[in-house]
Amino acid sequence: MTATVTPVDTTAPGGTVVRSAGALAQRGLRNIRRLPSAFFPALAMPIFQTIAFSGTFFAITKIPGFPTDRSVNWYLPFASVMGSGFSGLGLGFSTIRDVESGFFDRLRMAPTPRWALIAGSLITAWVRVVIVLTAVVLMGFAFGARRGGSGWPTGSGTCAPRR
Amino acid sequence: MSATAAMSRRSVMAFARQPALVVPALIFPLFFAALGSSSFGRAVRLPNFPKVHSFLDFALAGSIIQGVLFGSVTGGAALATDIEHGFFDRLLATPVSRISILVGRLAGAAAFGAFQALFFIVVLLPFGVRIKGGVAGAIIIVLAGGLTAMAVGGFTAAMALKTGSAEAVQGSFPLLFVALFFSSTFFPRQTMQGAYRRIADINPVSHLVEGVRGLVTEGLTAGHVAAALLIPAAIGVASIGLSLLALRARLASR
Repeated sequence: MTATVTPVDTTAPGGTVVRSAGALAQRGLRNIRRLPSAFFPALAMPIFQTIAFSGTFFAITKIPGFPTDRSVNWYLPFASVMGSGFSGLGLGFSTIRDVESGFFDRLRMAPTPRWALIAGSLITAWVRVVIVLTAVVLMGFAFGARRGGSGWPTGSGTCAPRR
Repeated sequence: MSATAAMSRRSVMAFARQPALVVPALIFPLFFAALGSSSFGRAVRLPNFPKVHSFLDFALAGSIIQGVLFGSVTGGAALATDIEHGFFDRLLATPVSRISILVGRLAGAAAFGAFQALFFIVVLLPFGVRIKGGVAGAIIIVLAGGLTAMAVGGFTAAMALKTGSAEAVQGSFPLLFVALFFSSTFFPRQTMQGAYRRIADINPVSHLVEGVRGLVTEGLTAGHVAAALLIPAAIGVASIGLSLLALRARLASR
């Protein structure tokens, strides 16, 4: 019995990087569906905070000089930034999982530049952030957030204070 | 009786020997109090805001109830860990009364809850907190902390006995967050509107907090004393009843 080794295509390193990063990103995104418990808190917490904070602390908008008359306008950027942070943290946890399970060592043996391994994870994190931000912003607008004055869009890209 | 005392002592020792489990229940409420005090300091001048000397006076009751709720989850998770590791089964093999296993755990939770209330008072006093109810009011707040811990501990113990999983008990943490934020723990109900106000009105956490808060901001009145002690006691009757039912079901299934 003879073992056959598939030759590695070294003529197109750029293509290898893109393919490897793409495959790893795809794997990371599949984990959202296969391991929802790891992603759900990052999605649910900012939505909950937008809703809860804007209702509980509704009255702060009446403090003289407060820069907006809608509490959800005030809390939505905070929740968006926090949700993005949590999504980024998820990248760290999934990398830890890969290191602990030995999968990362196997990736290091793959015939691809090392930075492609990082790029794949970063693409996953970026897509997760986009999902979270879309959900949080849509929920915020459903709960009354409205675009502000001349500053739109500013800061974390959601609601500029109404002056 | 001695078995119950021994079980209670073990629960308290567990809190003392595992600081990593209890420190968050002591630090996070203080963090929220500090954050609220600096962020919402001017909110005390809002219309409808209860008359208080400072926002920290208002925040003290919320910190106590928040800390006690977090601590109770830790207590319930410890009971579930006993079940997972087989210690609960070994206790059942001894001639100790079944109920004392539960009562010991709840007494330990109550002792830790009372300690938390005392801890928050002692830490926040130098920062300007004034308890209008005086020393007697502070003592009643500490008692209320213990009763609240026992009441909420009854629910987490029932969950631990029902599931036998520390992870499931820890999973109740987000529910506590929801209960805390949709109540008057962090901001007065009088300043809320619409659905938020209606939810806060029926949320028992609001009433738990407001009983204790009255002793801090308004003084020692029969109404505030009754609210601070009787509301957690009433919730405790229901939750301990639930945990006894869960204990009976677990024993029957063996």
